[in-house]
Amino acid sequence: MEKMEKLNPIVALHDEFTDTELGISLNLCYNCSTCSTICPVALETEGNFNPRSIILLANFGYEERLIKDLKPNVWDCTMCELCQEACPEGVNLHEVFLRIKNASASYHNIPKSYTSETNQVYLYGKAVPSQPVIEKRREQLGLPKSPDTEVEEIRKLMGMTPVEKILKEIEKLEKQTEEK
Amino acid sequence: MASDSKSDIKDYDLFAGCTIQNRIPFLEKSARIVFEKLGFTLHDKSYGCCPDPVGVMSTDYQTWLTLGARNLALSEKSNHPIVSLCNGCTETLKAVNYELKHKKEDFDAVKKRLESVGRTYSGTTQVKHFIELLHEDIGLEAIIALVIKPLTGLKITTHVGCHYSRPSEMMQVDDAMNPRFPADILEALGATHIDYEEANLCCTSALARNNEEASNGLMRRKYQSILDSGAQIIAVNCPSCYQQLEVGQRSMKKAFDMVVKIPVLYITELMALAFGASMNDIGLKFHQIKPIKLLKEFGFE
Repeated sequence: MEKMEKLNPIVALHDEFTDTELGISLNLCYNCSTCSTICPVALETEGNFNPRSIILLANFGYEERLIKDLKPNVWDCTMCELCQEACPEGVNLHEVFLRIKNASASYHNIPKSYTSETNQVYLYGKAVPSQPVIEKRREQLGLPKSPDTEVEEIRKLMGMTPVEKILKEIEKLEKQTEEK
Repeated sequence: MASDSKSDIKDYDLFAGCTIQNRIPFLEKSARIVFEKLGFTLHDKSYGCCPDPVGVMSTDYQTWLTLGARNLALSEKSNHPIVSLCNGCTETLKAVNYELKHKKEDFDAVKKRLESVGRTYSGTTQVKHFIELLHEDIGLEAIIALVIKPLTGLKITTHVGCHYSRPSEMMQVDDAMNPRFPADILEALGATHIDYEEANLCCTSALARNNEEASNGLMRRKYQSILDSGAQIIAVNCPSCYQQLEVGQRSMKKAFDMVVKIPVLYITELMALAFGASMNDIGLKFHQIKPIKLLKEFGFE
């Protein structure tokens, strides 16, 4: 963890894609296009987004392009996991995409709704916090009050991972944009 | 993953998930009715967010692992298995267990973080999606035995959702590419299950967060396929899919002037009705696409 934080995210991602179990799985890709054929987003965008090109770029060391330029845009993945199931070589597309997304997040290249959701968890312990109008509805339905959680503990745990820094940086950037 | 042995455990920790708890709680009501009728006791715990395998995992894997393991640790302490009402929560809880079992370095890091706040994680908590519990442990026969108002004549289709069964090495349930348990349950309730070509197409809830145009295009394919099938209800087992498939009907009108208007119901809502609950008991009036008129035509009150 600490090692990861010190490294440049591009280099760190490159390391994760080489000489690791994930890197070995990535290397098994022989470009057969099964993933792109089964991907619904590839179908809808006529191949502008397609998992094969992401795997290819990851394999050839184009980490910077993937996480800084988002070309192709990894956030267009709908996370249906069909490619993961269909790949005849057992390439771990699920994890490759996840690593690219996390690295993009550290460059603040992440859709707003993702970080807002994570921030809700940081502030309230839940992505959808309890709210009075729904508590009233729960009561009408004869449901118990929505159980509380230990927010302080959750925040403390999040402070031990890279996410706190990412959320704070994004908050700062947003404030700067507002001021402009 | 069919198994012949039915489990005798009747005490489960309920993982309703924050979307159901704090946005669409009527789904929780129907689930509680169903499991109570089946003789189960569901325990509430002070869980935090699962956390979401789309939003939070994509932001930071380590946070996702750590908070997921914290939830699992709570149930490790109570020594109950978890039943989850949501595909996403089920995926997180199962996948965190899987990852920590296979990645020693992450296991050590997560264990240490949790110990610093007084929690113990060892990876023993069993996690089940409610569909899995119903189909595998309780079994269709026990469900059929409780049906007093069969859904005879209703043409219902299913949208099972991606995170229910995939990635298969983590989820270990049903047929990962062509899941069938929800349809089996509907048939046990007496409904006519309708298949459609785009049954396995994602609800595109994750895609909609970055590319609305592509999401709308895919949803149009899905809805058209459902319309062509003649189904009267879309049955779901995930709150994200539920919201996406309800709200998506409005998006279709706006984007393509396409009229859909097919009620989306949770499998537990249909079960509760078949077990004799009234539409009012389970808050069907809170649905965006009202199912009440249709269900009245089939004798439900």
